[in-house]
Amino acid sequence: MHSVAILTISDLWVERGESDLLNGLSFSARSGDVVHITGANGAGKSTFFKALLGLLPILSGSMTFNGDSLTQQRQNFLNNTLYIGHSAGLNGALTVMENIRWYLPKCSEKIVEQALSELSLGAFAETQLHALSAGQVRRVALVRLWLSEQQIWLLDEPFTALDQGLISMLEAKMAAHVASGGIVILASHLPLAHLSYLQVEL
Amino acid sequence: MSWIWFHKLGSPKWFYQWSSKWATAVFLIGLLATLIGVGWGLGFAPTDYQQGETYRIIYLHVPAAVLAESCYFSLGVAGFVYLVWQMKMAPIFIKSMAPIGAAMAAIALLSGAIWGKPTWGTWWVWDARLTSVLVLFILYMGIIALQNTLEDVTLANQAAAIVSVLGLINLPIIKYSVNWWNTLHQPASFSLTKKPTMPMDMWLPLLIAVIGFYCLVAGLAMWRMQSEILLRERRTQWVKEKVMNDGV
Amino acid sequence: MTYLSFFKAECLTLFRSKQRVVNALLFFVLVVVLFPLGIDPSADFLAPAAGGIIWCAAALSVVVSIESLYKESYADGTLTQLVVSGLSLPWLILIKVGVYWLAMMLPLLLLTPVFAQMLFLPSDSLLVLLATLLIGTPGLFLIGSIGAALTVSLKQGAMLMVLLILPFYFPIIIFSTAAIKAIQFGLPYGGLLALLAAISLLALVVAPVMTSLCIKASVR
Repeated sequence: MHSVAILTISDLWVERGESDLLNGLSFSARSGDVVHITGANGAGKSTFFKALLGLLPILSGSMTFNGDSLTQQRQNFLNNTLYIGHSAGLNGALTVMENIRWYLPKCSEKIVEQALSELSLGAFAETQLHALSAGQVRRVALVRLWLSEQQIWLLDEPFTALDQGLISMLEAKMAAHVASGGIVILASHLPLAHLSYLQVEL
Repeated sequence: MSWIWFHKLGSPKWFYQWSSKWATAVFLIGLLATLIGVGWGLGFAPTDYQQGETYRIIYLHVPAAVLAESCYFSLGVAGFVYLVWQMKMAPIFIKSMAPIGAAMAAIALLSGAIWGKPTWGTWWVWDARLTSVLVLFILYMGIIALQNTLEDVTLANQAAAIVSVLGLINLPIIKYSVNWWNTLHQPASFSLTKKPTMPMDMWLPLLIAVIGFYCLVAGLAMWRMQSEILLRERRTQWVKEKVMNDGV
Repeated sequence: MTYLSFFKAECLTLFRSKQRVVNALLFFVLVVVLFPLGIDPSADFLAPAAGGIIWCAAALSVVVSIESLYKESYADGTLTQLVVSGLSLPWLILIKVGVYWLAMMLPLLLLTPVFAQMLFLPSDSLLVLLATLLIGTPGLFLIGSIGAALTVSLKQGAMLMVLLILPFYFPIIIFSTAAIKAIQFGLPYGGLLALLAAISLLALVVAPVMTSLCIKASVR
C-alpha cells in the first residue's frame, strides 16, 4: 500500500543568525506518515518549517515534493500545505466565523458549525477573536485542521495551551488525516501517545 | 566571454584577497591625482572672466557632486544585484559605500553653498539641482539609519537593497532637473561625452580631480568592505586563520 | 484562502478599526490648520499656497498612518499565513493597499473642498487639486506600503519609516503642486497630471513586488 515518497528532505542545512542549523536533516514522508520532529529549544524545529515554507533560504541540501525540486514549485507545494505556527494566524478584529470564512470561503455552514461544536466553540461563532482567551484562540486555529482540504499539515508545537482531552482529540484527528492519505509533520517536545510515527531528532 | 569574474566577485574571501592587493595602490593613485587636480585647479588654472577667482571651488564641488551621484548609482546597481542574485558581496558594498556617498553629498552641498554666496549672493537657493542633492543626502542617511536599526542581518541587507534600488529613480530626477526646472543653477559643467565648454586648461585639472576622487572613494570603499567582510565572515575558517596568523 | 475572501476580510477588519482612518483624517485636518495659525491667515498668503498645504498635509497623514498597515498582521501571525497561503503575495498586498486607499481617500476627497474653501483656493483650481489627489495618492500609498513592510518588525519604526519614505514622495508633491500652480497662472497642466499618473503606475508595478520581498524577509 505504500506509495513513493511525497516529500523528501536530504542533507538540509539552514543558516540562521549566528549558527548553522538542522545538521544535514534528512527524511522522507509518504502519504500516511506522521513525522515527529523533536529536539531541544533552539535546535531548529521552527527553522525547519520556515525553510520548508520558503521563509528562510537553505544553505545546502535538497527538498523534493512529488519527485521534483520543492523550491521550483513552491506555490504548488504551498497550495497543498496547511501550516500552523506558534502564533495562531487569526485576525483579532474578526469573529471566529469570519476568520474561518477568510481561510475557507467555500466550506459549508453546517460543517463549520459542527467542527466548532466539536471543539466546544459553538457558542463563540460570532465573538470577535480578541474577546477570547488564549486557549480558545488556539482552538479556533485548530478548526482549520478539522476543515482542511490540504494534504500536508505542518504543525509547529500544536499542543501548546491544550488540555489532555484536546490533545487526544487532536491526535485522533491526525490519525484520521493520515489514514485518508495525508501527511502530518509536527514539531513538539511531547511524545505522541496514540499514534505510530516516524521520529526525527534534530 | 566568461562570467567567472562575476561569480568570484560574489565570494567575500576572493574579494578580500583581491582587494588587499589593490586597495592601497588605488587609494594612493587617487590621493596623488586629487592633489594634482585640485592643486593645479586652485593654483595655476586661468581665472574665469565672469566669476573671477571664486569659480575655483569647482575643483572640489564638481568631483564631490559627481561622486555623490555615482556612489548612489553604484548602490542601486548593488541593490539590484542583491535582489536578483542574492550575491553576498552586494550588501557589504552597500553598507560600506553609503557613508562615503553621504560624505560626498555633504561636501557638494557645503561647497555649493560657499560658492553660491559670492556668485548668486545667497548661501542657498531652492533650485531643483540643489534640492535633489539634499534629497540624495537624506536618502543616504535613510539607508545608513535603516542598516543601523534593523538587527537581523538578512533583513537589513534586503531592506537596504530595496531602498537603494528605489532611490535610483531619484538619480534621473537629479540629472534632468536642470532642464525640467529652469533655474539659477548653471547647466552641468562637466561631461565626458560632450565637448567641454570651458577652456582646456580649466577642464583638464577638473578631469584629473574627478578621476582622483573616484580612485580615492574606490580605495576607501575597499578598506571599509574588507573590515565588513572580516566581521561578517568571522565564523569561517579562512578568517580565523588570517587573524591567527597576521593579527588584526 | 482566496483573493475574494481576503478582500472581504480586509474590508471588515478596516471597518471594525475605523478609528485608524478617523485618526489619519484628523491628523490631516490638524496639519492644514497649522499653516494659517503658524504662518499667516490672510487670503494673500493662503490662496496661492492652498494646493501645497493640502498636499503636504495629505502626504504626511498618509505616511504616518500607513506605517501600521502590516503591524497587526505581523503581530498575530496572519502576515505569515498570507505568505504561505499559496496565493500571490503581491496581489494580496495590492488588495490590502487598495482597500486602505479607498477607505482613507474617499473621506479625504470629500473634506478637500471644505478646506480648499477655508484656504481661499480659487474654485477653478479645486478641480485640478481633486484630480491630482485622485491620480497622485495611489503612488503615496503604494510607496508607503514598501516603507511599512521595511519597518514592520520594529517596535519604534515610525520615525525611520517617515525618514525613508518621505523623500520618495517629493516628486509626487512637486508635480501635484506644479499642476495647481499651472492652472492658477492659466497654463496647461495636462502634462503634469500625466507625469503624476506615470509615477503612480510605476509604483503600481514596482511597489507590490518590493513590499512582498520585504514582508518575506520580515516574517521569518
